[in-house]
Amino acid sequence: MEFLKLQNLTAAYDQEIVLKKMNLEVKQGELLSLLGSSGCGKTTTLRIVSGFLKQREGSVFLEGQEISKTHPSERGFGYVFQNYALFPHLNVEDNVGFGLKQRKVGREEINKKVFEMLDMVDLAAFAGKRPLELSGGQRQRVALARALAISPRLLLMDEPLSNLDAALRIKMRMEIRRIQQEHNISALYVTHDQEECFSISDRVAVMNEGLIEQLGTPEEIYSSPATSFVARFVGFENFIHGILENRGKKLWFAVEKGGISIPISESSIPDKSSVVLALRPDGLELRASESRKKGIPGKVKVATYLGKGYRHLVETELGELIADTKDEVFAAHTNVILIPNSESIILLPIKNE
Amino acid sequence: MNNRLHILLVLPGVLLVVALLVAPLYFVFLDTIPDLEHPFSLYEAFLEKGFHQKIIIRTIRVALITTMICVILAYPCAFFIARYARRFKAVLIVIAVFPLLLSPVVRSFAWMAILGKNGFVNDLLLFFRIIQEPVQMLYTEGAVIVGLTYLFLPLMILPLVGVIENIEEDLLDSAKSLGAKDIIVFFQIILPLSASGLLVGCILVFTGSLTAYTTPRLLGGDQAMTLSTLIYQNAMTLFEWDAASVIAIIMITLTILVMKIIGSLATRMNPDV
Amino acid sequence: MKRSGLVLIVSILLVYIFLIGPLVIIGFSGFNESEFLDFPPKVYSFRWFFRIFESDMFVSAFQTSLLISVLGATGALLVGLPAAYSLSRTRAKWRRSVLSLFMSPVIVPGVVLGFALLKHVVIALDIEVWTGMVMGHMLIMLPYVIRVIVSSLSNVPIEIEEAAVSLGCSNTHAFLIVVLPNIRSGILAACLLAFITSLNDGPVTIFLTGPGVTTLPIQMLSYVEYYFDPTVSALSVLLMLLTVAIMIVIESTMGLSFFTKK
Repeated sequence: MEFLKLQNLTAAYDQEIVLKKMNLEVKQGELLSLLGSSGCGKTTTLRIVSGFLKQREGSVFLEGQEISKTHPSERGFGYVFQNYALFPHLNVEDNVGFGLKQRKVGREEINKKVFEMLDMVDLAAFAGKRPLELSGGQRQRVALARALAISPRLLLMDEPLSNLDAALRIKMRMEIRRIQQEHNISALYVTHDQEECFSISDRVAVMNEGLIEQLGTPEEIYSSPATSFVARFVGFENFIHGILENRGKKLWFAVEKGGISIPISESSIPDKSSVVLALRPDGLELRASESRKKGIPGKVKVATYLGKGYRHLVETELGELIADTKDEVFAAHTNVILIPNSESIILLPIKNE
Repeated sequence: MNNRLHILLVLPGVLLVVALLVAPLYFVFLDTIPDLEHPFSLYEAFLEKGFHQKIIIRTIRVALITTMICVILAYPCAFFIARYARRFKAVLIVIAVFPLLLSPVVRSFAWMAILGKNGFVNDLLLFFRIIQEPVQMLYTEGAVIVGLTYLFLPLMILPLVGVIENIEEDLLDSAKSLGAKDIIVFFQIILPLSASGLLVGCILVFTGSLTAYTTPRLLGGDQAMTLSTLIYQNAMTLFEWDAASVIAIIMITLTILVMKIIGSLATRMNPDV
Repeated sequence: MKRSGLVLIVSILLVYIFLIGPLVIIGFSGFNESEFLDFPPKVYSFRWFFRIFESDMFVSAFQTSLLISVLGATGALLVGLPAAYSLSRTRAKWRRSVLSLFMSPVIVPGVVLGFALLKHVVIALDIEVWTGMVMGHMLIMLPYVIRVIVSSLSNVPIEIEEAAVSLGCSNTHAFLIVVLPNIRSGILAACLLAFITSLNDGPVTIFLTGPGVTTLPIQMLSYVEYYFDPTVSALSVLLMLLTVAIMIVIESTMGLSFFTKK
């Protein structure tokens, strides 16, 4: 039996539908991320699970029990908010102990648990401070400690790191992952940051327009995105429309205009179907046009320095393509050949829309 | 939380305002049209009297002049406070707010003392032999205008400070870097960008002067009556309640009209206000 | 720029002399020994301050004012606090119209409001003078209470309540132990602003006074029409001190920048 199960969830604000018959299952002890851009329904999902928002249709099950009618205060879930939502009038200790106090736990026991939590997030020295006296990262850790102090059955996190600067974000996501794994906490994590999401999650659900586009481990999603939306989200910049052709032993990807064909290693997609070929910028090798290699001819429009290499915007018959090089740079207006690396190619079905 | 609970929470307040403001005003309005066949008969009777016409025109004139004086006095002041006052800024704002919170009776009384027969101004003019005998300044339209300007000037200064403060220095610098002279900067950038504050100030001062009671009563007396002193006289001294109701409706109409006109000016000058 | 700067500074000085001067003159005349309001006084004394407290007229009017303010503010707070909470949390379509309904007592001319209340509430329903007065003051205080508390609540994000609820509080309990402590200063400022509005009101109150029930401004108003002596100057000095005290409290709770915003 799954730990948390969302069945046919539909939600709407006024007339606008933000979640369309969504289904999702979270396993015990698993951190599952909802990844997507703003308005995709990820926060809505989290708010329905927490009980702050009522779904229009569908059910939420926790360990097989329908909890849709349970008041949020009785669900016993920890919630970490994007703006932390610490109580400004209480000090760190009282913030963390707040949930236990509501549960009428004895004072000594609260004290013990609070300092256990503060030790865990390394803030025991700040117990007497008010939230306004803390830095962003410290507030974030107080928020986490407060949510975990009630030993929640499920931890819900809504973009918990988005208000921190880049270095602190990386540090904190490792912290969160460590604590979550050590305590074997089941968690639902909402974010729009692909890298953050992959580094922290057991599984990821990529959401778009109220639907889950793909559900899988970070590795699965990174290496084989199922749709062009997901591909775009995980760094694919080049998308070429064409047809799959079986010519003898080899599979070829053929573009209608220009007569360009690209060899494909293998694919489960049936022969003669229209597909989109997707490539990351580092999956396109860039050569000077004199090299006489077979590939897509083009002309460099702009070249920029990225630090780890150079990025080129190349004008070709197939439209503008983006290609990265490690140390060689091609100046603007240079004629070049683009050679797709067959290992990096992803073929995506065209959606019937 | 659900909508029903929110409605429940505002309901007592809504009922209070409806019972004590909306309903009574509606009944006052009904009082002014006792006869549906001649709906405007009471208004015609009221407006027929030259005395009444004079008072309506005086009230509007006084409000208009007061507003204009306030704009002229407040603009440089607000500009200075918002841009150059630095550490005096807080003090200057406090001094502007202080009279606002002080009783209008006290503020009007001060001007009675200044403008009276034995008042400060007459003493001064006599001392310098500009006049030979005390001049009657109290109970004139001028006295009312001075009193109202005094009463409402802060209401023009404060919103202007608010908007001028928000004009970014970079904007003025970039205008100057493009070669604009100070005066051009003022008319092309500061004025349009502070228009919203100016119009808020105008609404406050104009409607305030239109309906002020204490100041016209103390400084205008029976010689320079305005609509507010007239409604009080009709209601409480003459017991002409029909006339008082008519004045009430005229005053509300004027207030709403002024707010609409200035408000539409605001949207025309700056669509996103 | 130099000349225009000089013009600017001179005009500021004149405006501020205009703003402060009358109050200074009144202040001095309150300490004047003579019966007249001449400035500057030749001999100083406190006699007019004693005069205020000798006659019952002003003292009892001030007591009435105080009582009406306190009762009215309590009523306005009881009605206004839930309304302000709801207005700051809801996104419903009726929000704007209800908010402008609550602001309408500021927009309707005071004399019109007073007249309408007198004729169609106090007289029509045969209500006691006291009750009518308190109701009228509750009405004129309501907009200030609601506006200040709504703006104070806008600094308390709804997530704080949700956090409390997720930790086990009921909605009501969350409001009481999480929201209320964070808007305490806003409520105090709201009450003070309402108090001063009520204490200074002339136009509405003058229609609602009755035998034995007169507020301080109305008493002062009728006094200066008949007696032109420094008693009212002395009283003005006291009112200025009260205003200063209230301003200090408002400054320390809301910040006076509240007045330059809208």
